[in-house]
Amino acid sequence: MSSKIYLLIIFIGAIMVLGIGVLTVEAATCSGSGCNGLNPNSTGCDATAIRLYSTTSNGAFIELRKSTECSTFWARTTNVSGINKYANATLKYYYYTASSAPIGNGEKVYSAQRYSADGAGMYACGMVSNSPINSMVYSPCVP
Amino acid sequence: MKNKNYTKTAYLSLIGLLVIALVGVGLLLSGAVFAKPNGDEAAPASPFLKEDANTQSGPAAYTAEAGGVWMQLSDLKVSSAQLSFKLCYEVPFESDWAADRMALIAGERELRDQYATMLLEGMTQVEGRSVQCTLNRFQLPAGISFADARIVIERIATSAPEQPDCEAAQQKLLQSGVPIRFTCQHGEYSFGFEVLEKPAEMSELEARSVVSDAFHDVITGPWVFEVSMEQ
Repeated sequence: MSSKIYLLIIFIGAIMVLGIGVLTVEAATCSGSGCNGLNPNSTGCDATAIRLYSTTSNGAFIELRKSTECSTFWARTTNVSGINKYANATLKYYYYTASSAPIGNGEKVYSAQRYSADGAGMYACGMVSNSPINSMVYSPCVP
Repeated sequence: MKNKNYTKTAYLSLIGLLVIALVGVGLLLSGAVFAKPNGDEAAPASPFLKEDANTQSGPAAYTAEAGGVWMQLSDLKVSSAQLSFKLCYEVPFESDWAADRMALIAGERELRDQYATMLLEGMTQVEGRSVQCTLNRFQLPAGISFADARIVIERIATSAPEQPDCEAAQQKLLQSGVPIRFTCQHGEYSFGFEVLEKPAEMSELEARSVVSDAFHDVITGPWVFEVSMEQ
């Protein structure tokens, strides 16, 4: 009788370990400055993303995004101009992503992420344009 | 007797483990994401709101209700270059709700795109209600008068994820009776979509707007605040 109970306890324990293992896979795959320069989506940091700051400027909706789990920040630009345009999302002084072709209304590009404990010095800049924008953008920005 | 106690303890341990395992598997199946609480986090220090010697403050607070959501506008301040205010919303669930479309109408002038928002993280209590708040600012053109002014919040929305769940968004449209079909393009640092089918009377831009809204939660107002001030 007792050996059966032991087997059951081991079996349930194994299920719990397996479950925790799967949950760990679903959590972010980086932490702290180890997230610097990495993709917020492929690292899982975007699972807890919030829009900390946002503004609209000349057909670009610009956001400073934050992962509450990873404490990382990145820029995202959405084309809201109504027509297809090239787009750029820049996390000022750190990373940028530029679309290689015009993107449609409502489509987005986002930068790599950067760790910051308090978000100081994190600025999201971006724009949309009829021409490619293959460099960092320094205006307009939020905050 | 000793063996009986041993068996009882083993059974209790077994039941305890079973409950923990079921809770764990349940959370896993529900797709729960474990994030550290953020209610006590302060927003990053920023020069988001600027004041100068000419800054004037408005009345304590205004309230409005629309779309089933109570909203309060407070901390209204006008300087020579900026109008700023705090908005608090009694939202159905905690997320990063913010004004999605808003306008400042001052006399004949209407400002739409010259605003920025800053999320104040976490939920807080205002007038006994659990609310989420943002700071907001409009950049002001020279010579604008607030003798006859109002702020119109047309809608509030959460932000869309980096890579939205397209299947869920498609189902949301179908369940709402919107006959639009679309496909998504998931890039490494980008997200796009293409409208495959739409009603003939709907423009491509309108259809894209409907699809965009399916990727996040939107509550439509409007919430209107009369904010006339003597300057």
